[in-house]
Amino acid sequence: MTPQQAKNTYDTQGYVNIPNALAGDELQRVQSAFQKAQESKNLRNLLNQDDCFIDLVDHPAYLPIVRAIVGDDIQLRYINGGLVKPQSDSGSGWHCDLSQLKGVYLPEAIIMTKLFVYLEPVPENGACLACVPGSHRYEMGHPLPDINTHEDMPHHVKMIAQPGDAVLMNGYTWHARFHNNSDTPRRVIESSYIHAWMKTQFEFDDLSTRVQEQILSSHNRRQLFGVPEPGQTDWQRRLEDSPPYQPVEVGI
Amino acid sequence: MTDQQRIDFEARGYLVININNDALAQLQTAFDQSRDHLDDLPNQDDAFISLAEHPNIFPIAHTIISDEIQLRSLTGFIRPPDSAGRGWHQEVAGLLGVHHALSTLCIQVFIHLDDAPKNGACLMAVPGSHRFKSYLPMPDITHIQDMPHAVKLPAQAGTVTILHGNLYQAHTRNQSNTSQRFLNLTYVQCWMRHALPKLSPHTVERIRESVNLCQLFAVRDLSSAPGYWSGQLENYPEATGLPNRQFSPLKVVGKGTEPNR
Repeated sequence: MTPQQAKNTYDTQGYVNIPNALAGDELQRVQSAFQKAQESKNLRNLLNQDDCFIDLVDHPAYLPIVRAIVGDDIQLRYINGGLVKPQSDSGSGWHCDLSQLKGVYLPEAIIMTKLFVYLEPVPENGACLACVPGSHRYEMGHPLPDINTHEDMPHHVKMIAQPGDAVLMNGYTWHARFHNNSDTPRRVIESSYIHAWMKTQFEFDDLSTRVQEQILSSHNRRQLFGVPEPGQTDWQRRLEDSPPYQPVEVGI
Repeated sequence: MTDQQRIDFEARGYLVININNDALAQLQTAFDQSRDHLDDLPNQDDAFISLAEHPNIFPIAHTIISDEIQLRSLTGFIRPPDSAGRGWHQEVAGLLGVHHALSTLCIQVFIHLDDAPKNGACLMAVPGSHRFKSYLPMPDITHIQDMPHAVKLPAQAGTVTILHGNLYQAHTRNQSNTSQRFLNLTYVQCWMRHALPKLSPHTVERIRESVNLCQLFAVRDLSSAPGYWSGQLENYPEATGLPNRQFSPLKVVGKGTEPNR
């Protein structure tokens, strides 16, 4: 699947599946690092736990896709680990992350996109993410149906996943996380990608010196992690191999 | 913001109002005392901190942007005789991911501190162009005055011009013999980055006296997820921004363990 093909799916459905984004030794390493972060209660501080989490932010299996969708001014908002215990009523209900957002006409915007990378199998009864395809194009104010259970949502699709699979989802797509009725926990790494002109949800200064050094050494990482670039405003940021921003101005 | 002002802004993409003579005099004095630090105004005089919530300007800005309003920048500039203007542009054109013709990410507020002579520096705008779609190319013109349908906006001391960020706007050359002073405030949504100078301890202390100023100057903790997308102002009616939009009455449904909400 090329980035453009993935973008086409995302643009029409509001999400796209990326099978086998992680595999083999790399997947094992991330699973192991996740386990350690979980044990030390640092799932919301992944970047300081292991370098593999830094590498996940610009991973070649999906960053070209995220970039094709979000644009050359892409930036990370956060990366967190998520754990859903087995046999728990821990579902999130059907919602849309951006439904109350002001100032933006959302049916034609890409303001925020979420990436879920699964580290364990997610069976149909195992805290599945589910989406309503095409709902990212609904007119603003389109009412959610007043339903009682997750399963009642018309037209929904469940994201049944294998370890290493990823899903990229528009923040305006209707979605839910179902209750975990299985006997296995759901372990997922959740990232949120936004534009460089938006605020991150972490402070660069809170990252360790070691992590900061890895970020500062690369133009694209500086942008992805929201490090200001001298002489350039956040409205002009672009990734390295893309055309620099050229403001249109006519008349003297 | 009156209904007529709202209609005018929605239709034209700009609004012209005034501040009174006392406020003008205070800003002129503060401006002159800060002439060497026009990029650092919030740290120069408390008058510039209060300006962010000026009673003539802020209620309008709040209605246009929404409860999630924040200041992006607050600067001053001087247009000396024969200084160049700026060609036609759209302030938000570089922001990717947004359908600007139907969105309101940003407004600019220009406060004229001097009367503009007939041939002085002034703002021009193309009424209604804030609804132009991004693929519509700017006309290939040589002079600012060549722009079709453009209007020159009033420019007396105390005039306040509020522009939608997607509006076609230009600033004409100052061909007069006198300098003109301006203040420029840009308001954006609170989840956007700001371009304010680093605030001094005194400035932060002053800002912390007010919940609203804390939001406007981004002096608050945004590390918690619920706070990222939302703002909360005191003593103003709720504003969802312009254009008026519907929001779903139910935010979460189908969880099965608690009533829908």
